[in-house]
Amino acid sequence: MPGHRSARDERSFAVLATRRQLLGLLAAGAVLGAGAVAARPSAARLRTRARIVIVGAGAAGISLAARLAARLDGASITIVDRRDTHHYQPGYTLVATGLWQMDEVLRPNAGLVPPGVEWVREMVAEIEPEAGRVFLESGDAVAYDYLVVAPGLALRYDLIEGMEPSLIGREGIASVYGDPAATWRVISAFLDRGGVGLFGRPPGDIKCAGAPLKMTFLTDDRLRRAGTRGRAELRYMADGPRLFGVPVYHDIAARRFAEQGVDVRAGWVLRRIDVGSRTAVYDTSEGPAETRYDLIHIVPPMTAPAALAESDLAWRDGPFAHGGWLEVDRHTLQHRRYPNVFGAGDVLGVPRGKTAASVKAQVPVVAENLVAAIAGGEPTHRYDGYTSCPLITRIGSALLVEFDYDGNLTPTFPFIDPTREAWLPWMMKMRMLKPAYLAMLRGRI
Amino acid sequence: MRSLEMAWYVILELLSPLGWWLAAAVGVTVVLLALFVASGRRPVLGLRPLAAALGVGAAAAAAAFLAIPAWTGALLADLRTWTDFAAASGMALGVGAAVALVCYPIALWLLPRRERRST
Repeated sequence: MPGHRSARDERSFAVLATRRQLLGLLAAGAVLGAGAVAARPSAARLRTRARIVIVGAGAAGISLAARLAARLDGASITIVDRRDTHHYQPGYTLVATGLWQMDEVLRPNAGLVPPGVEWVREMVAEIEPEAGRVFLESGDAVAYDYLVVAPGLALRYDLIEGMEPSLIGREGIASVYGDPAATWRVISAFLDRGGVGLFGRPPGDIKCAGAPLKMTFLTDDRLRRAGTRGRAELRYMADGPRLFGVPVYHDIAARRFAEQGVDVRAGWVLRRIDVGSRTAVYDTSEGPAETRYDLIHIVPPMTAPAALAESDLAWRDGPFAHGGWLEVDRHTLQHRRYPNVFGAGDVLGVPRGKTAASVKAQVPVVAENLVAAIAGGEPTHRYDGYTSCPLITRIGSALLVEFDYDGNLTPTFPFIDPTREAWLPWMMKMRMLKPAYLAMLRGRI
Repeated sequence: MRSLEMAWYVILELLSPLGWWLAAAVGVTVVLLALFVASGRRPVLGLRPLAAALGVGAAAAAAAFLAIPAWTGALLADLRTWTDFAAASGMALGVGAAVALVCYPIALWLLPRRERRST
């Protein structure tokens, strides 16, 4: 799984009577601009010798390193992650539908790890929270006073019989999560030939839960634009009765599928694929059902990485134990049994919240609560479960979906109707969210 | 204030790939303006250069409005809500204003002052 990461010079045009006024205005503009560029989270820095280890150099790990480096003076901050390339995963659906090139979502991690932060280029193999240390794949140990767990999650293609990641891009098998570029190759071939296209999602927590819907909507749109929609039969296999966890978006997706002629099957869970015969077997309430396909978009089950799931940091019981997710307080994001451990990103065992937008909301909470813990205090900030996903319905149109733990809609921009398809959320998805993401990685927002 | 700060950083990141081009444009504009002021030829504010710069800026804004949907892979017909039109208009106005600012010192140099008829 890839890396899983004002000043405003409102210039009024005054009438300039003298040269001195003109030069003064130019100087002021330069100072304001430079000040804004240099600005960072402005809270006072805490002096400490604490050793902080961050597991994972994805969106959460890099953003937290940047924030903590700005907030702490004298701390030793270490990021542990072998991966050299950072993946802008919110762009995956755009790559997988031919709207972006793969290189638009890749960036060297070397340019993102903040100055002053040590980067250990290995993966964590084991975590010993009782001893306050992590073991690397090489067998070396790294001791910590505070640990931030942000390794992302594991794509479990192995839980689908007959499936392995190397099949993506061949034999009609697509998967935006595993290989978006190869997925586009398969989908573009399907646009020419048509046939039966299967979509869907597995039960359990997955990241960007809107992506399976987006892939279906965009494939339908691509077929229409290619003039081959009539040759294709699209089916969406939902794991349960709902297409989306928030009722209003379930209704919108169901209506959209009905308009597009997408056949929705509720309670169908992919169990096995046979690559040679291009058949998929689903578990349904009426027993196994076999379906032939020309294109199948596979969304794998997802769990916490093994190093976490097998450690004492994972939930022991409850709804998040099955995936081995990190046991944290859902609001403070502090571990419930190890107060010197915090978590952020996809690995959290909390309802919802496996998107980059969630990370954007979680990172300031974790950074401030970690700083409070180092200072000997209680957590001061709370995460409300905010998550967001521009739900693309076709090229040029999307819904700006934002909600919290309770499924309440939490629109950032009150003038954007979160239940109405529009170009503005599409424009944000295509052009604005990546700059916002990069600003987040630098700890600026 | 926080959302303004966020918008500022998003704009910075958005424009950063064009950084050297923007810096060059700003540099040339400032140098042209400073040289004009230093030459003492006439007041820095003039109706003709202002009108010319605004005209070019308006044309740029109109072109930008038409091009912005395509910049996102969409069509002009995809703009359907008032927020769509407001966002596209705002971006187009920003482009137009930037073009007008860059054009103003050029217009100052290129457009001679109209002589007043003496009586």
